[in-house]
Amino acid sequence: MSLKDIPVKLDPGPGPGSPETTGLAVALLREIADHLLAVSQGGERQVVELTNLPLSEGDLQLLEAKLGRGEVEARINAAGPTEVFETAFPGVWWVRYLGEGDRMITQQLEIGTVPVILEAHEEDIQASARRFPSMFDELDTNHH
Amino acid sequence: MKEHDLTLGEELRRQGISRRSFLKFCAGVASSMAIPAAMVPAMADSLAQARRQPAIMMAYQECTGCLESLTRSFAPTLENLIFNFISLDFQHALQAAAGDQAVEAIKTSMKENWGKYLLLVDGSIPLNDDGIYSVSHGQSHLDSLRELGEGAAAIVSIGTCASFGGIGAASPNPTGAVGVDQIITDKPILNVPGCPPMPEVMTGVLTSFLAFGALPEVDSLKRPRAFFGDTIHDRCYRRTFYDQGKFADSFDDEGARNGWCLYKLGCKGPITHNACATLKFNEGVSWPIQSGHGCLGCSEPNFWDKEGFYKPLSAGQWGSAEGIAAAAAAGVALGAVSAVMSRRNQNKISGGK
Amino acid sequence: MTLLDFARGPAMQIAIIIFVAGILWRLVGVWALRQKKDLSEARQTGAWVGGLKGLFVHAWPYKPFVPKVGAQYIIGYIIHLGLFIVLIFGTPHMLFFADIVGFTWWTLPGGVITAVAVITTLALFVALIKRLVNPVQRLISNFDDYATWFVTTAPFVTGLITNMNMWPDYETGLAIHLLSVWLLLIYFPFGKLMHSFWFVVSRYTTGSRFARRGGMA
Ligand code: HEM
Ligand code: HEM
Ligand code: HEM
Ligand code: SF4
Repeated sequence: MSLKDIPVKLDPGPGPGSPETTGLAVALLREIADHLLAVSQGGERQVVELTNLPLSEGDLQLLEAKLGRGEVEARINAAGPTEVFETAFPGVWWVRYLGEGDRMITQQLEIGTVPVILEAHEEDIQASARRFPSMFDELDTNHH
Repeated sequence: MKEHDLTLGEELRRQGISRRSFLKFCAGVASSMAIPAAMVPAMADSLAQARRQPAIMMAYQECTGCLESLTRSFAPTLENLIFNFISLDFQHALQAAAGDQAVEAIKTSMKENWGKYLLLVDGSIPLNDDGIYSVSHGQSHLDSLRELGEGAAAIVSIGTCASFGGIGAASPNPTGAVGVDQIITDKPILNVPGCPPMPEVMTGVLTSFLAFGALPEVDSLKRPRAFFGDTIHDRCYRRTFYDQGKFADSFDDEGARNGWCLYKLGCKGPITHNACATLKFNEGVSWPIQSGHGCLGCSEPNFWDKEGFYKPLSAGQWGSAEGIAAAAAAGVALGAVSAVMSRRNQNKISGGK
Repeated sequence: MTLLDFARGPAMQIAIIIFVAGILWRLVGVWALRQKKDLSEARQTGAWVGGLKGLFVHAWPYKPFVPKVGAQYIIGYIIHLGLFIVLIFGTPHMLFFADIVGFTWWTLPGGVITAVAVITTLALFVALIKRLVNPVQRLISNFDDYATWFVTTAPFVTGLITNMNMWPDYETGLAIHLLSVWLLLIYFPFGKLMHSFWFVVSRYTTGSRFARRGGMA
């Protein structure tokens, strides 16, 4: 018997899961509808965490298919990549926080004008306003 | 301005790390700790307002496996942020300083941050013979822990040894090894057991300590509920096979190859609280059951002293069978005696006929 | 030592020691008694055939009694078959015995065992209610009957709660299940649970005596 005779089978583990839908996706869509209505009437931003829900691969596909793609797509580089896209429903955003090698850390649906991660934070703006003038110092020194 | 006077937000901004990184970091931690996603911006805000947390990490009777596990997964860009949030003033394996210099570093940090620093401990502490079995720089680890514990704001026991005594406390426990909370009783203590512990748990614990100013909610064994609330069996992807009665009977049979449940091969998943079934090790690559081996129960006290890793959970722990043989003999003897007595009684009643 | 460690180790050992000693005490004690001589003349030979028949003939009631005791028999069958199935064909239970005898055997899916266990538990409660409601049965029941019922039912109830993960935590639940089983074992030799041994003796004896006198042939 040689090593080749030993059948090796890799266990994919929990992996993608089943292609069947569980009904959770539809329940989630209803929840999103409620959130969207609330936000459209001036309510607060809402977030639905997807990673902690026992969604099957089929559920996620259904969600993606139903929500579709909108006008905005963005990739953020802060502590690794983050992908954001607007769904076909303005105000409903899909946010994927990724780690090294595009490993999924967590993904969320955000309902609001713009996902928080896209906005420049007040304090970062203040810091950049302070930093900006130093550019002129450099320009000046280069001139002389 | 001194390092410790800056808020984390200010300090990291100076290093070119934007608030988005905080947000993302908090989103990751919140998801692993089941904190509502809507709280993430507030969490990021208070984390940015926090000061860098002074921390001292002591290695006692240990194997450095815990540190290996922690540093391995802190490598990626996101997770290593946590190292920016704490000021690790002492860790003997990671720092350059050694000998007197290193001890000096502890003393200085202790004095400067008395009552404020976080003490991270890995390894058990021997009690026998005044703790002489584990000594660094002329000081027993027992004395060292008592001294450092006194000035700590809180203590985190990293790994099963620091939490419950670990392998050092395995029967017959020659050094009298115990976990931290058996020695220090007047400080908030958090146990993060596991052999090794899950790095995400450390990240989560430290982050919530910084963002919320307190250690997270714990169970009766002082383990953070967010990570240790469920058993492996509750979250195991092989659970459907358990429920269907499909088991691997040996490590190389059809069942094992099909990835069926490992209960018969001694899996301790049903009595083990940990998060590896969901978080997995090595950045989500795999975890023991996925690699085909039953859970050893490494985050539970005395996991090595339960009569074998391969004995099914429902099998008894017999010790020796002598007691049962003696019981059988005693039973027969008792029976014989009672029969003799009854016969005598019968004789008496029947008048010997 | 946690409660589970105690239940899996020392508690089990003590329970089994008491069980073994108690059973042997009672068996030897009865078997070593002087046998009652039957002074009557045998009406037919081969009384032992009647004894063996006796073992089975009572497995179902005599026709005219069926309307009266049939239900009791059915309940009894459900209880005992359920007990047998759960104990022999439940995987965790098989593994307990396999650890002792050294070989494993085929088991039923957990869902089937749970269903059987639920039915058995219900039957046990029906039996208890019958015992409490029926005036005659109530009159002839003593503490032993209720204790027997309790120690038999407790492992079913605790086992089901454990399986359904309804305890605050599983380990303690499993420990309680095990302790309830050890209680059953400890009580076994000293009460009516000994019927699982005595029924052979009593039915054989009754059957063979009747046969000797010309009945049950
Ligand atoms: C071969 C073994 C056994 C035989 C032949 C047997 C036979 C019987 C018989 C004839 C009865 C009375 C009629 C009835 O209610 O069904 C009975 C009752 C009972 N048996 Fe068994 N038995 C056995 C083993 C066991 C064991 C191992 C247990 C418990 C662990 C047990 C628990 C009970 C109980 C609780 C009752 C009373 C039911 C009631 O309240 O109506 N039996 N058994
Ligand atoms: C010999 C010692 C025994 C051991 C070691 C043992 C152990 C166990 C274990 C580990 C479970 C699994 C719980 C789960 O699925 O999570 C269980 C379930 C159960 N046990 Fe036991 N048990 C024993 C004896 C008994 C006895 C004597 C009875 C009944 C009189 C019993 C009744 C049950 C029931 C009803 C369940 C639930 C089964 C299911 O729904 O799948 N057990 N037991
Ligand atoms: C009060 C409830 C009970 C009733 C109504 C009842 C009824 C009966 C009946 C109808 C028989 C069959 C008689 C025959 O045709 O041979 C029987 C036999 C028997 N019962 Fe009971 N039983 C009861 C409780 C118990 C209990 C609790 C036990 C033991 C735990 C028990 C043990 C036995 C045994 C061992 C036999 C066989 C005796 C023999 O055939 O010599 N019974 N019982
Ligand atoms: S492999 Fe272990 S944890 Fe997973 S279902 Fe089986 S017994 Fe439970």
